[in-house]
Amino acid sequence: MHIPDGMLDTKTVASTWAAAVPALAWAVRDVRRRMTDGRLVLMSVMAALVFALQMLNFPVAGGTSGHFAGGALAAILLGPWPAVLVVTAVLFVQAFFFADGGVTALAANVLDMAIVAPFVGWWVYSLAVRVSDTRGGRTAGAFIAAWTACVAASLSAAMLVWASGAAPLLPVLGAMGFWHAIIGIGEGFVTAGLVAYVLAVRPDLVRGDARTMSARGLAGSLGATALAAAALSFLAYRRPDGLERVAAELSFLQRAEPLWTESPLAGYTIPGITGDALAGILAGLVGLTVTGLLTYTALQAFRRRRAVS
Amino acid sequence: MTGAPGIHRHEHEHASAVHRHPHHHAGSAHEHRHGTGFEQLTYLVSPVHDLDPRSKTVATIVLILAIVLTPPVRPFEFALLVVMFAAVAAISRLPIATLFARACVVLPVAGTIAAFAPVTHSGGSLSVGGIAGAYAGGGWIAAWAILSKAWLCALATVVLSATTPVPRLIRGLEALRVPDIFITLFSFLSRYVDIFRAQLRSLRIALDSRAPTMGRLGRWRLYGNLAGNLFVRAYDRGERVHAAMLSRGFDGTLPTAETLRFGAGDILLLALVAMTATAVALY
Repeated sequence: MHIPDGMLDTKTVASTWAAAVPALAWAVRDVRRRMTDGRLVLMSVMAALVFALQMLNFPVAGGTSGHFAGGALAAILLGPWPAVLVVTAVLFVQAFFFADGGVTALAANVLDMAIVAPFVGWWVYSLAVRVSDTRGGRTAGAFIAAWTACVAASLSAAMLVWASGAAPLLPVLGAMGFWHAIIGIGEGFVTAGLVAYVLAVRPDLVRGDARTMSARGLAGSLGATALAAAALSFLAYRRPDGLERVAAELSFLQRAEPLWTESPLAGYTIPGITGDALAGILAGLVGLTVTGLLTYTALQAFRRRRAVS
Repeated sequence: MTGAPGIHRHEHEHASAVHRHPHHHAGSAHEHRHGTGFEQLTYLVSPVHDLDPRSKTVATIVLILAIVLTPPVRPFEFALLVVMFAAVAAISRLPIATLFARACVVLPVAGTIAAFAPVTHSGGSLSVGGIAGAYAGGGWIAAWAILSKAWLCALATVVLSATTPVPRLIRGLEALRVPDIFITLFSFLSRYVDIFRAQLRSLRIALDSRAPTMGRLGRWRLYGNLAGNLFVRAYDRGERVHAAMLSRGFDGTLPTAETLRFGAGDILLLALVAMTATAVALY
């Protein structure tokens, strides 16, 4: 789903650009450092391939259809940072040349489809390869990775729409999650089919290139995801006010009804600390630390078990 | 047709409109290709097509920012913008209806979210009061805001992409200091996506003609194999392309034949857009 212009409010547009630009700058830096000119040309041709593969569409229900997006696939084939650039380039071309997805909403679309999807996909795929580095394991991993990436991207898009005050949280999460859980099956079939085919025909192209993540990388990226989630929740914590402002400005409502007096994070305040913003940030940091520690412990346990067996 | 060897442009009449393409003259041969569909529009000759891609890109972004930042577009503002885009289309000799229709691609997504707005505005209740009752006005205004802004912004990018050939647009982005990795990516994207689409199409036709009785489900199951086949071909093509580039002296930069000229027309465009954007955003 490409978010068009005009759906996100100013604070969400500003926040998504503030988040996407440093991530893209890092991706450019990473790719410049690692890639030779030859690899760069190859990566660019792969971008055209991902765009072309988006022609593959599958009807979902009643006339609507979902199409292949390719975030997880790009990450599996090229690694996550090149995938970020590849999908960003595709989104940029779609926004500017095809009016598909907004220009101010480009950063939001980049966050969902070019950052969340490749990283989630790569993370799941790496996990699967760690569990079973066989053709079957990689194929199954690719399927789960693509499905998870598709759903995660749709959920983060839903969060952004909700944070803008354009739609209530649960319905938009439910609707987006439900349809993308179906679209994700198609995404998974294409990704897994491609990986299985290439493993059978040219295994060097898949095994050689996509370095899967180390345990530290897995933990680190989970931490980054948690951080992003915390930031997003904090963003959401500021009660969406777009519609109310509209209503107030146009004096359409005699009394503006608060839309969501209780946001999910409204309870996330820390006793003894006044100031909503400070408490929100602290709550986010505490959540992040706890998640990080849990992940680290789990991974250590996982590695120890592997070492024993 | 006289012509020195090499690529250059000149105008010619085609399908009752004047076009201008990059031409390649090799000896006496005169070769050019006509783009299909929408791409064809970018090769028309008009004052708007002649403008600097940098000023057109900046103007589009400024206009979109104004539309996004303004409170719900009022009918007067909506009419002003539609008339302005229609005027640009007329000066560009572009079919207005085609542009308006192309901008409608955003409506399904925008419409889905806009459908939530009236319900949202009644505090999430699905009662008739939220949709048609006393509190409905704000919700419907919010729905209109989402739909009208999405459509107008899409129209702005449609006008940009209809009046600027893709290589010129990319050249403009390069001059606007977009990082070179993205310029490389855009160039290859626009160059190869049609080739891969054609390959994918022929793979599907091959599949359909060899398995005419296969159900749709079975065909979708094979999409992965088609994609894999295309990936292997694309990978090999990438390596061949790079070898060919090296043999022609590739040194990491992509040379371009596009020259940019910022003229009086560009100043006029930017001034007009600045005034329109200010009017839309602030009033």
